[in-house]
Amino acid sequence: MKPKAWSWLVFLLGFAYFALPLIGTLEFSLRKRRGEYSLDAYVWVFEDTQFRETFGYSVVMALLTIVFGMLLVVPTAYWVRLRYPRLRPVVEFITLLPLVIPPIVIVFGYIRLYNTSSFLPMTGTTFGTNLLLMFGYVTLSLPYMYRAVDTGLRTIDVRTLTEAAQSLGAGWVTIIGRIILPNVLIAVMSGAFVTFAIVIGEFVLAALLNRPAFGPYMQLIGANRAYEPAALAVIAFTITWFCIGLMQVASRMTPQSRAKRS
Amino acid sequence: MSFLQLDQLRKSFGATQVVRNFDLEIEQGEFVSLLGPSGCGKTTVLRMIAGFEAPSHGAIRVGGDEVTHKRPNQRNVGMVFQSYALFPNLTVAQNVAFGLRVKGAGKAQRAARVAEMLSLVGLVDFGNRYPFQLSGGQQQRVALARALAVQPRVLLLDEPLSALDAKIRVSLREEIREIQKRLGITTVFVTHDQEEALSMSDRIVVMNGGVAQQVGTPHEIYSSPANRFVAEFVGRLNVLDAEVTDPATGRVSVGGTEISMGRPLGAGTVPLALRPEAISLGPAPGHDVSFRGTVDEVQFLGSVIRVGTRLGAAQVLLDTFNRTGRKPPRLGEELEFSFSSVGVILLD
Repeated sequence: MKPKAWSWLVFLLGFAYFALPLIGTLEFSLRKRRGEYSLDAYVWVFEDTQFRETFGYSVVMALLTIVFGMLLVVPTAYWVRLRYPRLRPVVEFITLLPLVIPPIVIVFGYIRLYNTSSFLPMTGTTFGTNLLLMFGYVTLSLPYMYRAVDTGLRTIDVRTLTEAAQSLGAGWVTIIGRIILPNVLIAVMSGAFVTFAIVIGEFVLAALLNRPAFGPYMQLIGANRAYEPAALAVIAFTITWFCIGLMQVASRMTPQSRAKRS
Repeated sequence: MSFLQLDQLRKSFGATQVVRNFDLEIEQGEFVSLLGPSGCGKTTVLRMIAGFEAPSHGAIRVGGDEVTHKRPNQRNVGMVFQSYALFPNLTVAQNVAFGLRVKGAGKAQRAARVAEMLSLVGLVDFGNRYPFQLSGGQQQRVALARALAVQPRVLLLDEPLSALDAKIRVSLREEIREIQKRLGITTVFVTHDQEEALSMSDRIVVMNGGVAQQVGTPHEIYSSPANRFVAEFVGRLNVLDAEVTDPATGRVSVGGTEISMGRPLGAGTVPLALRPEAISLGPAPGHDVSFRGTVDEVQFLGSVIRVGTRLGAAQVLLDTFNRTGRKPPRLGEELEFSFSSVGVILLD
């Protein structure tokens, strides 16, 4: 076979690997009514108030996670690049830890550290628990966020741009807010997509902190109903991709993304 | 008192001393170049003036104010970088307005100043473009406009022309000098290109090994270099080893040709230097030393022909204008050469 045919074969295999389960799930979700395709399962899901509540909760959480992750990661990665390049391996290692430490360990650690009889009783209030959950999500998304931002910073001359801004009288907040962040926005966005997807489907943290997130809801439906979980999966999948698409469009509106493409 | 004072500046990175006891006084409106090979400390001096490096010792004063320990954003010193360093996410106009915006200038004031600056650098119609839509020369002009927009007390230029191609480099250097004169802004220019330094500066500081070797006007630097390094770094040079024949009157001999240096010398051999343009083909008015030699090199450079011959043990190169109707010398031809003993530089 020609090389081109090989690449097509690999592409088709890959495509099948991703698409077949989706197609299967979609097909199954339409079979609620015996003998014909119908949208009954979807109607059920959309009529369930819990669906709207949990999904809304998770979307808000995802957006907050992205914002806080950005506020944490962009200045850190910038500072490491500018002032402490030798610390980069260390910081990279720290950001990788969430990949090797299971979320269940992280959340048990949180609960031990921040329970109601601890020095910082975050789990004592709903707000505190929500905050804790969000910080947990920020931790889970660190490996992706940090790497994305660090790669983005590599494409600009961080040092000279910083010095140019400084010589024009700018302080750190102005430099990060007006120069660094807008120039790594595309990279931040690609980190944000992954973060969004992680948070929407996350189960362990939300379940153990007992928050009404989408992950535990999916698990609940999956354990109790037949066709609805499949419909739910398809809906969640579509909405997640729609949200990511929206972010993609938003990031393309910025001038420097036009610059990078031309 | 001079406007920009560098007093006993020293800078070490770890164990290596990059700048040693550097003193310099620059008058208001003066254009001073720091010239030297890479690693000579010229950029470090500039970065210390800008505040990007803290001196290990010494003081920096601008207009009488000590700025040695001020942060870069508090110094009001404009800087233009080799790599342009325009903010890629901002348009040309926003780039130029950046410093004004930081200072809290109003919208109308910003717009007026941006228009003024863009007309100064000849980019009036480019305000809405992004840096990536401009050529290198245009980007560097925007960078200049951006640095000047905030009316800095001192303008620092860090090899601003090095990334550009030859033709633009020459035209932009004339433009920079012209703008600098018009605004009367005190300027420090760092370069490793002697031609740039000679053509643009009021004064040049030739640096090597972190030390200022000579400070002087371009003419002084070129015609009376203070030492061997300056003589060899600036311009082309023929170096000859001469035998002192009469130490009292300063007569020396190179390969049988006698030269009078007009001042007492020590006995032994002394190194002498001659600029290529100081030697002429055949006799010339004022040339009191002549010798015969065989042409062993001819380079045709357009307006100038570079001819090589031997004087004593050393090869000497001379530059002569290409005149229409006169044939360039041929290899192997034996010719008479002459120069003036006044043009001979004694290297210490």
